[in-house]
Amino acid sequence: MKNIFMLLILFIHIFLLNFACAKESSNTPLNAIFSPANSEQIKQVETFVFKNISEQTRAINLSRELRCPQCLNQNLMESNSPIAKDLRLIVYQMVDQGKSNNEIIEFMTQRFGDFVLYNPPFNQRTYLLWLGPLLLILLFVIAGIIAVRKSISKD
Amino acid sequence: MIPEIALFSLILTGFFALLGALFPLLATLNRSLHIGQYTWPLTYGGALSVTLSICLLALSFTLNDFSVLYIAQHSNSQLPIFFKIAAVWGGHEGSLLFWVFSLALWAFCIAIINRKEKTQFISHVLLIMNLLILAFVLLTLFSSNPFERLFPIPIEGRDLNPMLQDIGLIIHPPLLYLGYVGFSGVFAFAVATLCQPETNFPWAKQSRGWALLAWTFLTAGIALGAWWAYYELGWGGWWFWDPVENASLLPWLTGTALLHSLMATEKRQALLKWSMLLAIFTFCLSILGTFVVRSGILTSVHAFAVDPTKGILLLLLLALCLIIPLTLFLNNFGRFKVAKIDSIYSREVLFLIANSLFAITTLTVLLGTFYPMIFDAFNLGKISVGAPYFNTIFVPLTLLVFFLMGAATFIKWGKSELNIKYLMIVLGLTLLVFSLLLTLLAEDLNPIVILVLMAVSWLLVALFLQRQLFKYFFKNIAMMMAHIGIAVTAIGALLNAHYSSEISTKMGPGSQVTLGEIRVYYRETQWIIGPNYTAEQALLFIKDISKDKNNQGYQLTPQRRHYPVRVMNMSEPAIKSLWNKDIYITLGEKLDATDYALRIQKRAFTNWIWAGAILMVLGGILALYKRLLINTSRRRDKAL
Amino acid sequence: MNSKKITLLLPSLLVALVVILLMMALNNKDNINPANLQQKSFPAFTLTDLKSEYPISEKVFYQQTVTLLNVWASWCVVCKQEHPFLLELASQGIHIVGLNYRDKRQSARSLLDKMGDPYQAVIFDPQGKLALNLGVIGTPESYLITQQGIIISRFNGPLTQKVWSDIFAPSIDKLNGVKGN
Repeated sequence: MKNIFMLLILFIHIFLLNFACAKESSNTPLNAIFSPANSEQIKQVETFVFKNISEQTRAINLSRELRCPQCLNQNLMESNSPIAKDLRLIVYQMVDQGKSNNEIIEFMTQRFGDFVLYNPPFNQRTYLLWLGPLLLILLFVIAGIIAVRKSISKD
Repeated sequence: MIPEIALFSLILTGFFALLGALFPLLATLNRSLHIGQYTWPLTYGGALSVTLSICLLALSFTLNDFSVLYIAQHSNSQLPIFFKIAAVWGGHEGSLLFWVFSLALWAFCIAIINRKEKTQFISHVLLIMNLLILAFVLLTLFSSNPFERLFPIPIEGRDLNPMLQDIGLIIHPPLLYLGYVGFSGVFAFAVATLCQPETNFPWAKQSRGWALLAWTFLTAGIALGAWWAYYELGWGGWWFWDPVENASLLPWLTGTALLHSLMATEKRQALLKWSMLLAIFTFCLSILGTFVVRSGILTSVHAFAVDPTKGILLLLLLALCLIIPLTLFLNNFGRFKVAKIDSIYSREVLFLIANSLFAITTLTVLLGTFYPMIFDAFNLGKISVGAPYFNTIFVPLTLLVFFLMGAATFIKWGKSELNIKYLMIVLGLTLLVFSLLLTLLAEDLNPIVILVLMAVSWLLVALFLQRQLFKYFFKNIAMMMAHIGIAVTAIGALLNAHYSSEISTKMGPGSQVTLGEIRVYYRETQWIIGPNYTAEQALLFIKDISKDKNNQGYQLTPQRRHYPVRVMNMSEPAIKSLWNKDIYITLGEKLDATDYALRIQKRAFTNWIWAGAILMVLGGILALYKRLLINTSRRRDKAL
Repeated sequence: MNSKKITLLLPSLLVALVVILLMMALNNKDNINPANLQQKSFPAFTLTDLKSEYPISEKVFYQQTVTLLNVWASWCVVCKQEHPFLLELASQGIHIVGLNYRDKRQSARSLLDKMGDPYQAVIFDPQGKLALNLGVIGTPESYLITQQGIIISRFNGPLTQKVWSDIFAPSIDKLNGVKGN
């Protein structure tokens, strides 16, 4: 009886919170409090032992470049949400199995799309993004040279 | 009762602002109306009434007046008093009120400084400031009223978000907003100049002072934000290229360029168009930043929880602040005399290149930040643009800027002779300093580390090797401090990124783990009751095993806090700061009856990042102090 | 003369363009957009049914022309809001299979007992393994799967009448080769 009452209080809290605040950031998203079944995976990811330091560095660096699909702009190392931990474990395991970064990225994008890549791919749709800065440099250099020449020659 | 008085004060501010804009306008249109002089007292009045308004809001917080919706949403009677006051700017409505307050404060300062000679030009500057104040007052009143009442009155407030219950909240937003808003001053000066028939008022000189003050606040605000994120968020990072962070970086980038550009304009009447445009864009980027944080247009952990409609009004304001000044600028384009540049080897050209680099950086960060949104708007799907992209662009551009900073020390205004012998000495010493830094700081031959250390060596050598060092040093200590500051931050950031390490492991009472030269002993788990939370705390003892046996270790106590009101768990990391690294430990999930997941990190050279920021801010303060001294002595001379 | 006027109008035009773009993006957030499909065919899996505990696999889709897969959990508040609509769809004869995501079997069962059960079968995925392979980002989500196991439609968010008529019903119509309304 008391348990149901406590559960009810907590449910009401969450109900109200969901209404009042859409984009609240928290270290532990509320659904994690209620989602119990993945403690084994948490244990595994938090205590993962790599074969050597360079593998660990590769795994961690790659996890930093992957976005948690469910969170408000956090990478897999930063986020504490269950899906981030699951995905991080998969990254660790795949690195441990000797898979390359490209293979791991392929795995992730197949399931979640390019959205999970913090390092945007270089394709037709991202030409502007990657080449834009180069274009800007070119523009400014040309404009600058013209301006300085004009100013020096004025006499 | 008090909230109503505060609301009335805010409305009054609006009226002061309205008249403060009307009077100088009428005075300009009709020379016989000598009402322009009243702009000053009207500006003072506006500042006073908005100060009253915001103070009364703070008072209501301390009185636990939960009949006010904003207070009920962001406060709680258990909340410590400092956070109750800080909660004034902790939410959207309150922070907009703070914007009005900052605007009025800056207008007040501009009015006070220029109170001796009430020129028409300054009355125009105040006109523009008052228009901005009016716009923001209307925005606040009609879309984000912090004094809205709540009925029925809740017994308890919802509590401030535990992540915000930190000293960071007390200082970071005010400094940041003062910085953002500070650039409204330069904006007003620029626009006022564009409205004059001639540009002979020394607007660049006074603008530079205001820009300097705003820049100092903004630098401090951003640095504090990064520091706060570092020790609060639990994963040891300090800059995430998050949209909201980028939004604060953009005006800082153009603001830094503006500072330098104004110098060239003031001393050599050069880069006039650049200074104008930078003045306009810096403030507009401030408004854009505010829009980004509140509209929900970009996904971020830092965003305020508000709906898009509040954003639209800000967007319209931004549009006006862009369209009107830019149209005026184009209209007056012909008036701007292009300054004579004597030679390519001149500081003017260096500053031109620097301005261009800052502009390119700003545009790139803007592009990267908004690209996912544009992508989605055109139904191309969802992508993310994060740290890898920004770092790829940012690092090379920073290297170029460092090169310029060094070159600027021996390339003077006007025409400089390229002294090959001097250059050789500088290059030689650069290599020396570089090899020194490399041996001391680097752990491997990473190419980026090499490049950045080279650029920094060049800068340091150039700075210290200036002709007549001591005479020049004290004359330009502010400049040197700020530039050394950015160099120190750059090294810190670089080494932090490349030489940090970590380990994640299961630990319980009695266990120990080693990370390099650091050995961590888990003594016991403790239970802590805080003012509005309960916590599990790990008592850890850390020892540096590379030092001799007699060295004292130290204790660290990372916590996992539970906040009952908001039903939130938070991990409070424990940090030990040393000169060349931070030991950063987070207490993670409970894995079984006795053991926890612990994440132990060695964050390399973190303190250098903050030290550099402090140097930059000090440099700004010193420069301001110098200006103040010069101005007061000049006034004294004038009076004699 | 005219070129000067045009240059003066330039800032207004450019800024207006930017503002329109930003407004478009703001509005886009509220719009109902189908999620971009990553996977084309449903990943193979072997899990158990929530209520009966019998094994269940991707073959559960092979029996119907089209199946609606609904990802839900008992701890998910928004899922409760879409639940009545699911019951309505079920009563109209739509085949719905549930994917119970990171949940406790007992909690999920009691929710269905309490609120009604619109599902022909419920895949119990306590560790989110299938969900991960599917590319589930959060709850609730809905997918439309054909008899061949091809995913033809997807929506992230609560299923409402509007979502159904705008996104899923047209997909079903296309499948049946039905033209017009």
